[in-house]
Amino acid sequence: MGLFFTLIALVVTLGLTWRYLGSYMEAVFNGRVHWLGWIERPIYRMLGTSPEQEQTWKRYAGAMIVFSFVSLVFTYVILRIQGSLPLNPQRLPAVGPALSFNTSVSFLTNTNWQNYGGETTMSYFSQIGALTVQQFVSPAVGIAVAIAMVRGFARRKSPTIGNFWVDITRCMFYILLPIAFIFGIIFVGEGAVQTLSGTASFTDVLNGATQTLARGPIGFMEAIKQLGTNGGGFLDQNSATPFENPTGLTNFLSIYLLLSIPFALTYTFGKMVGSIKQGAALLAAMLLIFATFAAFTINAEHGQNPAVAAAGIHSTVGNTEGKETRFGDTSTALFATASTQTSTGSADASYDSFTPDGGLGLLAGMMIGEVTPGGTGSGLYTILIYAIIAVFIGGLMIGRTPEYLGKKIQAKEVKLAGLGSLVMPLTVLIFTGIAVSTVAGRAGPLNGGPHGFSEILYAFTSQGNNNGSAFGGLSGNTPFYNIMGALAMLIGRFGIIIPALALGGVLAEKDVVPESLGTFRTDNGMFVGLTIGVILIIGGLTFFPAIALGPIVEQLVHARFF
Amino acid sequence: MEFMADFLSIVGFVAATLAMLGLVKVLDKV
Repeated sequence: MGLFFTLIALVVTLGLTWRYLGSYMEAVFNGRVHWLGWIERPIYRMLGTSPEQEQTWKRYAGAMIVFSFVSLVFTYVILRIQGSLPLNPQRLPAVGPALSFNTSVSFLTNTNWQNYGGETTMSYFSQIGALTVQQFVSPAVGIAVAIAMVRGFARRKSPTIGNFWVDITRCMFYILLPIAFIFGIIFVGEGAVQTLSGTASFTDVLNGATQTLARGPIGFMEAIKQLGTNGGGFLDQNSATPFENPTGLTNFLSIYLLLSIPFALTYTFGKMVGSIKQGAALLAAMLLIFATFAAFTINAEHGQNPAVAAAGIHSTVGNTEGKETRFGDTSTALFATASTQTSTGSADASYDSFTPDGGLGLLAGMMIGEVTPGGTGSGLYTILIYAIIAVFIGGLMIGRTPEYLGKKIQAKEVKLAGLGSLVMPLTVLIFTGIAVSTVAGRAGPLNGGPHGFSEILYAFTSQGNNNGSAFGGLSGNTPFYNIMGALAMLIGRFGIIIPALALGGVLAEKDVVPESLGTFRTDNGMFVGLTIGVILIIGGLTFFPAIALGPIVEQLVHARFF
Repeated sequence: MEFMADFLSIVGFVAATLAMLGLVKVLDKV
């Protein structure tokens, strides 16, 4: 019954958010919102730019790349010198070079993969000045790229797709900061810790033991962690701890925040291209896949863990090992599905303790490219890449030059879309192959056999998709995994962003072809089905052999597939 | 030792940035 009411509340709140936040974001990016103009204008003056100075896709991408380089170095330097910086009551030393390298890339790419325990590694200054800053910046970059790509569909014969500096400034100040501030207050009000006073020690009067509890500026970081589909928690145990996720309400709000912007961006898309039905078609494709995966994972976790059942223990309350009893099996499975399908990776449970089927649900959600609904911005620009492939296939079927929103999809667009859709699977599979073929790679997983393989596959799937969630059974803080993981995150992020911007630029230059009777419609059920088919077929064909070696074998070993 | 690791990290960032700029150039010619 709890799950039923959670779903009803999610549908209502996300429905309203889709409509109104989606519409607001369109107004923000089209320059019709000015209530923070007094902040915007000085920033543009400082950067030597203005909303009128639009950029070609190459200049837009160049600005984004330079900005990313500065962000990388900024984060790396803070982590390396944190021992000499203020706000370090625990006197934590500098973070090691390899871990700083991995963490800088991780937060830049919106992955938030953490090869460290936050409370024992990062000072307050690092958490606030480096990591939380990136938790605002990286989703802003993702959303800006998605908007720039959408402008490619919305404009006619335009050499430009917007201004990168203006887009991220507007995204930060009009969208991310105000929403994160409001939800930060709610999280702190519910009991999430927010202090700069350092750790607290308590003596247990029953056995005389002294406990040291990690604290910090957690509550406000929690809001942007979920809203920006970041996932990097202040504490090692992430949203499973009451200090980050204190109540059922914060657990619900976490799920809501994860899904809010990625879903709402489809409305923004529809409004920008002049047809809400076009956005609704993408929303329908996202929702149908999300609902299917959520049902599969919830069903798996509501059942028994086959390994536990094989040991002769028969639970009647689902697979509760590794889960918070505060949240239960089904809400935890819903949180995990939302987290893995939105490029977030936050966790309110141990994913390593999920049933093989449940783990498969999480893995597969990432393997289909994180488009259901995907990360902030990345979900939209990635599903648009799949949509281009879908109309290309549709065009081949009916023997016409494919069109999407009146723009002819020709060889260049298909090449760019092909590259954008294949970068992630190639990265994940090649890096997993290298890891299982080397001693350093095989030293990572804590388990042998198919579960150990799943741990490696999950790690690179998570990093290659900029998700950041971890199975939990992998020792990732080694030079091999720090460096290989960082490479996977960089390729997985920019190997898709740059083709997406190129697509936006190429499409913006084109004129619109008048609609005719033979035009392949992209706002109906046929298109939704075709897009879902493309997403599932690309994901299935590329990853099925790897899945077969991991979770499927593991489930079969326990001789109980469902 | 640590200095060398820091130096290699910055070199890695520069290399990644140049690779991205290179990808922009390549995709422009596709």
